[in-house]
Amino acid sequence: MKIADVIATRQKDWKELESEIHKIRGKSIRRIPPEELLDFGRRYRAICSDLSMALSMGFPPETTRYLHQLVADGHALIYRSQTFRLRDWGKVLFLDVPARIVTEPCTWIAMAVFWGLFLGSMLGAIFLDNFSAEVVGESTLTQMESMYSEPIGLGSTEDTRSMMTGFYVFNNAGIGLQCFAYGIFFGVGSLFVLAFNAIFLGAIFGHMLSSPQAGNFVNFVTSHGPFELTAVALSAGAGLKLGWSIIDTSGWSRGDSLRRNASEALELALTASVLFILAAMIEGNFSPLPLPYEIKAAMAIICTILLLMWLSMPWYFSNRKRRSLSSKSREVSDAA
Amino acid sequence: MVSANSDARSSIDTVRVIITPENVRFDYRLAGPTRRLMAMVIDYAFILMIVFGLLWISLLLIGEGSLGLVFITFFILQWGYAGLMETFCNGQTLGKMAMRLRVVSENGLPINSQQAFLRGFLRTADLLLGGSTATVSMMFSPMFQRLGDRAAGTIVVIEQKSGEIETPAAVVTEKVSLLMVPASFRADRDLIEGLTLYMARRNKLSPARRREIAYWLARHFIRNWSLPANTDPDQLLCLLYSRSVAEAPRSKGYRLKGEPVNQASPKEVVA
Repeated sequence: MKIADVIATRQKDWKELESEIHKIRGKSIRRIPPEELLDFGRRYRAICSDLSMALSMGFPPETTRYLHQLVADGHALIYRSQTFRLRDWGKVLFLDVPARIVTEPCTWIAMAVFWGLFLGSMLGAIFLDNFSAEVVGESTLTQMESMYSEPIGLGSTEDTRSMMTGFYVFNNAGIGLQCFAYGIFFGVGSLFVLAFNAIFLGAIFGHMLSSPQAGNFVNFVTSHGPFELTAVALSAGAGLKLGWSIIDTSGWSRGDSLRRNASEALELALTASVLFILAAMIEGNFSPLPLPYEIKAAMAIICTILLLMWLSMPWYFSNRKRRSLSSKSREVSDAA
Repeated sequence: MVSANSDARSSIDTVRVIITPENVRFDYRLAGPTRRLMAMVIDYAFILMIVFGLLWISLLLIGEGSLGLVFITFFILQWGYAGLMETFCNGQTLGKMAMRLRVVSENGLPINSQQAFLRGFLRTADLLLGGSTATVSMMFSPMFQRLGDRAAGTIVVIEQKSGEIETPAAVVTEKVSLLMVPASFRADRDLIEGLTLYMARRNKLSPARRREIAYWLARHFIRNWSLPANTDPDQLLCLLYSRSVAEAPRSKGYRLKGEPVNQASPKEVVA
């Protein structure tokens, strides 16, 4: 049979697959009638063998390229990756991520490093004379002191509040994601960013707490503290997980180990971003309000309780599941 | 020939060969650093244009209160632009569209949102010290992967333009006669591929150039079949092309599935 004849007889099928691909693309698999799917599969297989034939018989290059493209499109459609589903994200955010935070050593290490350096630096700033000036710089300290010299809430307007919310999201969540990204350097980058921030913040805290502006300072920083500080450590934990997967591959090649851990680390980093955004909302809109310290502290306590509840969610749900399962099995055994 | 061919192609290090479960192989041309850098410059120019445009509008027309939104837009664009674009435009950002690039998984499949965001976030690490980490990573990767690509398991490929269906046209050969070719002549697959490639480019060449190129293949036939020395090499190749494309190799069944048997009757095959 002549090549020209083969092309002429098969052409109709190719064109039909082409239009089918256009029709199916972007549709959920459940919305496609089964006959159409079956037809698509049959035609795709036929065109795969056409392509092999084209390669072995020496079809004109344009036609071969056309078939290549057709097979590539069909292939991409058949093996297309999981589409985005909101329910899956709910499960990730409320069950997978909190469980991972509690069970992963990386997040605990990040927490320990952060709080250790933070408290150490704070104590240093309180008890050593030149510590905070050496770490932070004289000009920043005087700037901080003048910032908190007036009671909180005097200069705050609706406009500055919304502007500062945006700035906090941009700045803090950006630093968090950067901290995560630098984790790819065997975790060293994340640890560095984390340590730098812990020491810097600790020095500022220590200095401000021992300064006359301590009241105003505490009044401002208390409410958004729980979310923000957790988010800082969580970002670094995500970066550490990324970097550690290259070092300890548990039997995989380094590239494979990185790939297997990267998506889990990414989920942690995204959760940290969510926490940063929540913290920024509080920091921008609630912290600058002229309210007594008790209310600000109550906000911090509520946030902490929410965080703890969120972290314990996976265990609550898994216990409930087990209980319902065991009660069911009891029913079964009773019935027997 | 197929195996020899795949060896030859995979030895070119900018082509990635992927074999599907259906045993079909396709080639991706990997994109080099320069092209990707250009795409990135376009993307950042676009982001900066939007942010400065919004900044201008917000400061001049609306007031300080809207500045928060500008910050948030900047944040979303800085960290999410690549991820969102690559998720929804199947591996392409505006810069990649302009440079005809596309991000695909290492196994040739379209990327998912996780891969898109991961490589987007890790761009920060790749751009450290003026992009030197990305350069080093790409240098030591057989697939030009920067760090973000390694973590997400992706490659950046150059989009190939899709072909058209083209039927081999019969070539009119005047200066050579069919009788010149021995009846026992069978073109093997290598020869057919060579002839097809020659025919695809032939129309773009001048007659003198055609003869010059065709000579290197045609001289073997001229010598072996003792043809006159002044045989036009181009015309000879055209003749061989018409004959070999008109005949199917007899050894294995190249008949199409579902094709009625009588259509490929022995008469036609012999002719």
